[in-house]
Amino acid sequence: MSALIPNAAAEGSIAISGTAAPKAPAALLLEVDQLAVEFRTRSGTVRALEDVSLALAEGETVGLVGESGSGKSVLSFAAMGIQDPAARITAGSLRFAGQDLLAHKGAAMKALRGREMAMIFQNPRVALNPIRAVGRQIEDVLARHTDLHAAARRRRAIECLAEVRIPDPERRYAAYPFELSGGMCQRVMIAIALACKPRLLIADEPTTGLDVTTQAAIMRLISELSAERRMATLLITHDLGLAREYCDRIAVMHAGHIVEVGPTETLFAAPRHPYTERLIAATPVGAASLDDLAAIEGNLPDLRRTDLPSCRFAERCARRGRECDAPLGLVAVGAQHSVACHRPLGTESAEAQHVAFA
Amino acid sequence: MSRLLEIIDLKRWFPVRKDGETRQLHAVDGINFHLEPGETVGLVGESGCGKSTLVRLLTRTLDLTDGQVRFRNNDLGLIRAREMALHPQRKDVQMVFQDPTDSLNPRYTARQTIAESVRLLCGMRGAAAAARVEEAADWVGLPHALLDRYPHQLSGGQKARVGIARAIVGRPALLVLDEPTAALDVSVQTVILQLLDRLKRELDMSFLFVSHDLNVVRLLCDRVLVMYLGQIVESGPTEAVFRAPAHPYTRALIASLPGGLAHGQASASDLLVGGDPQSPIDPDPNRCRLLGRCPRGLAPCAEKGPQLIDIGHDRHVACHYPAVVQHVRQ
Repeated sequence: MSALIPNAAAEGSIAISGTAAPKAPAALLLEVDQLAVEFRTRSGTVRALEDVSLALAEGETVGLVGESGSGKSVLSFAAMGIQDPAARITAGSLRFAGQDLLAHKGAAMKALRGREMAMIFQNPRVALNPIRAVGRQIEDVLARHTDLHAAARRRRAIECLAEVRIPDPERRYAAYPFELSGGMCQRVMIAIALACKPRLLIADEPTTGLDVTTQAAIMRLISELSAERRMATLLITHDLGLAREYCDRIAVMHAGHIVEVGPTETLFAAPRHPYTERLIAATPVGAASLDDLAAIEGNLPDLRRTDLPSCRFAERCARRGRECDAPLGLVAVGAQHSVACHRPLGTESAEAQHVAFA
Repeated sequence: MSRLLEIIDLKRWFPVRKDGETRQLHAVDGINFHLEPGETVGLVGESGCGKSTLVRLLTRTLDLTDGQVRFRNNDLGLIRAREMALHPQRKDVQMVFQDPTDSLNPRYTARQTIAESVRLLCGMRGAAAAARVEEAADWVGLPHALLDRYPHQLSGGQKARVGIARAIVGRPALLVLDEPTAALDVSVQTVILQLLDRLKRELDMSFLFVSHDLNVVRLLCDRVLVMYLGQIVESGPTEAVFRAPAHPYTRALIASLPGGLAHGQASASDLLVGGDPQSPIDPDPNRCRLLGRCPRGLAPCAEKGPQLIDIGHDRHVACHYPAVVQHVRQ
């Protein structure tokens, strides 16, 4: 329980409690820098993440979107230090409030997890313990990270249930997951994640499989709570509509690369990466008819391949040119807006000028 | 036009034991609707509202408590679910399941999966059956080279195609689709939706499209039925219902859609209040089932259960205080 304190003192910079006032308005909380993650499997090495950089400031909500298999969950698991044993971080750094997470081992990481950074998992029915009352599951987190005594823990657990707007929290404290609806289970998961008032919340598809009415309630709850507490939120989703409604910024992932990151409205109004543009065109939000929707050609490349091109979208891309084989990185194209593409959209006029001059 | 499917006052109650006494869970509680040939009807509603029970009743894999399932004027409801398996009309109503991974036999290749339907539904054998399997693969755009693969060797979109091929190989008149794209990525979803739309026209089918993704329903369906706790609360042409939803529950559904729908009249003030729905176990017939979550609920709602009434332009709503709908001529 006290593991955090000597460790924090050693690091010298971390605020001990999540309730501490933020120092600067836009202090960076999570910094992912050129992270690479590999999985060693019998059929080859899967290069699941490569050169991934992303930063989250306090109070900010960032969406991480992309097809399944693009590495969204790998990134969030790596940030939480809960990646699969087969995963290896081969390059880059992960920093949380200035501390190097990759230097943290075992106990130090456990002290952060659940207290400073918390995660909402995709499927609440799987993530909750089926044979433990939900109130007790909240208490487990409190027992690990606080020195509250039993009665106070119980009071706080009931308070947590009330905070996520669960009606009749005292009765629901003793309920088992199977006695609650999907939406209620998801609220319990959020209550567990928020019990210690974390500064960073990673929500991995928090509303997949829930009804739209429940989805709206859960998402409003997360955004209210993050506004109240200046909590940074990383929202992982494949629903662009959802990301558009709730995120300040959106990062688009494709096959283990971040291909574009920018403010939500800029990204939707003028996507620069062809993949972002295709993804928006495939999303049925507000589309007039079925014929207006355009599918994305091809599949994600097999990440075990040793001959992966520098742009992993190149083989699916209609704009592919000779320059696309050159090494690639995110390049700033506007305020907070970067794209990893040699032939980004919206540069036709520039290209035409080029031709005119030549 | 003669109706393809007509559901009359359909009920399915499940007995449950609670506090030592047997009570009835009203999963489907008096549903009426119909489907014309060539029509695509969307069925939306939250999980637990009885969508799946309704689907199982009309694909005749579950026996009904009361009411009629009339298909081409035959009351299929009279046939017991066990007998339906061998009934000649079974091939006319087929189903595409939600999760293409769970609904395919992992020990069957795609060819065997489709061939099983050909054998059981079409009664074909040998070379004719083999040709039929390949024809079905062509319909759904599944390369023949993939037919000898097992489900784990196929991508999500390819598995979805196998599931569709299996269902349409007997040329059904009605295809029931239970969230066919819920497990798919948005990039693949588009392809499958466009495939379904094309097949519907080419093979002259009707669709009952069950989904809780309203954006998809809006794209694909001619009419939409909104279900809440075992009953239909609103029905009508998709465009009209989405533009001007009349029932508070429909308004809440549409207002909940992230990203916002263009030109809809539903807004944040239509979102549901309160938490969970009422219990479907022995519900009070003289009380609106949405009461407690409804942003509009008033005293009369607790005294009389609303009936589905005609509000013109092929629209029906079950509410004492529906939103005023201005019909726009198309």
